[in-house]
Amino acid sequence: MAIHKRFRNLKEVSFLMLLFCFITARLSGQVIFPKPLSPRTTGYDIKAKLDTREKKVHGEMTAFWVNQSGDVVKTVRLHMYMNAFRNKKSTFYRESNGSMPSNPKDSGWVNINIITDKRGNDLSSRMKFISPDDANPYDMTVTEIELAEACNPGDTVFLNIDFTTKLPSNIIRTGYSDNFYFVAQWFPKFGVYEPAGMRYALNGSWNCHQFHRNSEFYSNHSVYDVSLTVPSDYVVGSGGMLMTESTDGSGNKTLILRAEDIVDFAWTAWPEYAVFEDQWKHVKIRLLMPPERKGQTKRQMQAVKNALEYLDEHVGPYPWPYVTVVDPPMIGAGASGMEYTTLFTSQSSYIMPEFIRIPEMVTIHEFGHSYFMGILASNEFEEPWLDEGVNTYWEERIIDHYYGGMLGYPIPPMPDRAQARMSYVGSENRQAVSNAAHSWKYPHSTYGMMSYQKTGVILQTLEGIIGEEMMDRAFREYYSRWAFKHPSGKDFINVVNEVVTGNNGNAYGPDLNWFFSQTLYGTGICDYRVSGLKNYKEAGDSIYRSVAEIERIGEVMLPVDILVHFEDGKEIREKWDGLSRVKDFEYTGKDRIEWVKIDPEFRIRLDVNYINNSMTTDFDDLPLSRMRNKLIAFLQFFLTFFAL
Amino acid sequence: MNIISALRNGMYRSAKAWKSLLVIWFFYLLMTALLASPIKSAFSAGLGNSTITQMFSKDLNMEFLTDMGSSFSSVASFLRAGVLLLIIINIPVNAFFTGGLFRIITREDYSTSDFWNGASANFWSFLVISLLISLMVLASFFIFMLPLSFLMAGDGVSDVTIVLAGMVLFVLFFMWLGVLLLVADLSRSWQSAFVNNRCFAAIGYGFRQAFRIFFRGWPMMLLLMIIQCLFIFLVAAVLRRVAPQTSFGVLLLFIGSQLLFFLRIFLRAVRYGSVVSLI
Repeated sequence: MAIHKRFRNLKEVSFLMLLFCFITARLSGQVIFPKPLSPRTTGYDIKAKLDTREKKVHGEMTAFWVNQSGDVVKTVRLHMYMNAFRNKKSTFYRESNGSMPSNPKDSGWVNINIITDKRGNDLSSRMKFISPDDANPYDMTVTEIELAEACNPGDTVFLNIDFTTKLPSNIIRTGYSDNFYFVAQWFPKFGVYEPAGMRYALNGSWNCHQFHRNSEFYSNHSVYDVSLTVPSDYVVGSGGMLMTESTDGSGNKTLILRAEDIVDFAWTAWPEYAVFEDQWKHVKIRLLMPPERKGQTKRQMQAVKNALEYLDEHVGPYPWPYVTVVDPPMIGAGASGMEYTTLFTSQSSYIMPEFIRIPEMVTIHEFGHSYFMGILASNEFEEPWLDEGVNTYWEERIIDHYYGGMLGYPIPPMPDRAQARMSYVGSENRQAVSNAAHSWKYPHSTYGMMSYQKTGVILQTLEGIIGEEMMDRAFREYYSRWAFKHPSGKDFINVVNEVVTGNNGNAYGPDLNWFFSQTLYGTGICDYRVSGLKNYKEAGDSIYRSVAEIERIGEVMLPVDILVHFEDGKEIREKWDGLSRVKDFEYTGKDRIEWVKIDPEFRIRLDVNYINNSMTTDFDDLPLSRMRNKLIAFLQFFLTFFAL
Repeated sequence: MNIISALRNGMYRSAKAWKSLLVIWFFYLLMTALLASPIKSAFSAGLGNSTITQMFSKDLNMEFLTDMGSSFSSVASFLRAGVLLLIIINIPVNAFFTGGLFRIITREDYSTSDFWNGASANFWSFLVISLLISLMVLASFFIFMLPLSFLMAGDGVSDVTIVLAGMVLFVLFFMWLGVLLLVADLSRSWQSAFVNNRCFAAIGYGFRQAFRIFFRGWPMMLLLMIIQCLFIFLVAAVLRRVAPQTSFGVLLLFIGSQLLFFLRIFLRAVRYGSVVSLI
């Protein structure tokens, strides 16, 4: 190569290296937190412009990934989530059973236009789409890039990417509708490299799954420096803190945003948002909603504060100084009920009576995800129960604590935890699969019930066995040990085992694996019943021999309490390990057994039939008579409503 | 006659017809008890000898009831089918009884024999009138709600616009319903004066007369409709909260609810009597 060309190349390389140094210095600079909360394995410096005419986002990004493993890594993998909406052949669309729109105008995609490394090497020819989950050759949601130079342990991979994202018009978490934009999963994003021994990895490899209909996400805690250019009249909400805002005189404004130690960066823009702010201790709460819903502001803010307070007390602190709540308008309803650590979306409407707590339930649930998958960044692809189910358990505790245990729906109203149990018990497919399955492998529409409700009920049952205080200790330790890391289900169970045995010795056995193996990782059901209640008396004798006959019908074996009540009012509480199929409790005395109850406090929430948990010699049908009389009156009025 | 006088006259006529109202009440009690009692028995059977009913002190606990599994689904299906059957049976039953009521209220002869004569004589014509007016009510409902469905399907329409539009349309429908009910009552009062089945002529008369006495008849009808709606909401709110814990309390609940239902029938008779008084 001629010397002047070599010199010019050297100048270019030096300039690029200086540029990268500047950017990494900015990315690793401390703006929000004096010390990083996470290892900051990845970082993204994105300059993006929203094109409202083409419904696109044009982006230039410098991203880095630090090889914190002991492996020499030759490839990197990026999520290209938006390609799930590219066409009907994507894995996402196939698994949706054809429910996506077919109009090309409605599609979404992300294209990498230019991709270079820190030396300026063009990597586009080294890119290929892969399908590690289902070998679908048409799915383009994961791309693998062969690096020009292998990345040694401790080295950093820099990628300079020019990309274009087309937003879909049918909002499934992300997209646009009219002039409303919710932009999530919008840029090429590193997967998570798991060295051997991390989570379940036997060998070091990329954990980078395709985008499935029933899956969410998994990524490293990152630093984000985002420059967003949008039309001046748009109100923007994002997962970052606003650093500066400027207008360029051509009808656009640019917001410089920074977020630290979060797993995802999403944003929204709509000219008609009304903005409300409130404060809870160190956390500034920013609420964006349609202006006509301002009547809902107070209850939304209160829900966030309740969640902050409860989780702070029972799990651990919320570290960020801000949180953004977005209540999308009706045209953007597809974006509601979703979480992006420091930004989440809720759901309410113009008229929402106070006694219907749907907005609070959604707000509290989605805020809870800032802990369960935000701080405790589990793999939502492989263990959806570890964030959705755990979060459901905490949502139920918060709702039932602050709102009197009444959700307001369905009719008649019932506690949130009761509604979860109903969903699980009432599901015909509750034994179809265990929680060991990856999210996209749950059959027959069981993903929601298994990840959310069944796991919530499992944790309610665990609470019933070990007590609420022990649950809190376990979660505090889980938070303390795994905050800003990637815990697996195994890690969570190990913490529970450690805390429970550390505080209770062998009261529950050497560990609680017997519990989790049956409930989380098994498909059996729990069902105990009182099969008989006998009171024998010999002729001429004044002494009764009474027997309470208990059976285990289900496969799951859990310790249960039995409460025996005699006619004279005396009660005896027995403890049974629940292992055998049959257990009899015999008594002799002057009084007969009047009733027997298994689990009288309804702590074993997994029991699928509470009705057979008890038996009495004197059945009380007064409530049923009351129901009948009310039903008669209701039917009478109902019929006359249909008469002229 | 003005509205107040018509209402007063209507109450008087209805009070005089108390024996017939009792008959109507009894038949409705019989019909609904024939559905409600087996449901109670089904629940009793499904709950066995469980103490779970102790958890139903305030209200039926849906979480525990659904633990009945397929038994609960069967009871729910039975209830759905039963309600549908009752709605269907109610059409001719209501036509029959309103025939009798209109006869005695119009002729001011309150004997039960006249009630039964009128019921049987007017049955077919009243049935046709009821069905035709009901069809008009249903069609009107869809016509009034059509703009709302267009709004909901449209892009960029805020939920406050939809809610406000829905409320306005519902109010307009309610007002139009008053006209249709007035027509129905006038048609039936005219028909009850004849022996022969002249239902279509009766409906024609009903429309003509409704617009002739519109400024007295329609406000009076709206007032009666509002009173009845408020009454029903009040009854629903009370019954929802009442949860007696003793057998005597449950008996009082039954008696009280039946008294309220009798009052409901009475109010309807007041409506018929008031309309008749206006003619």
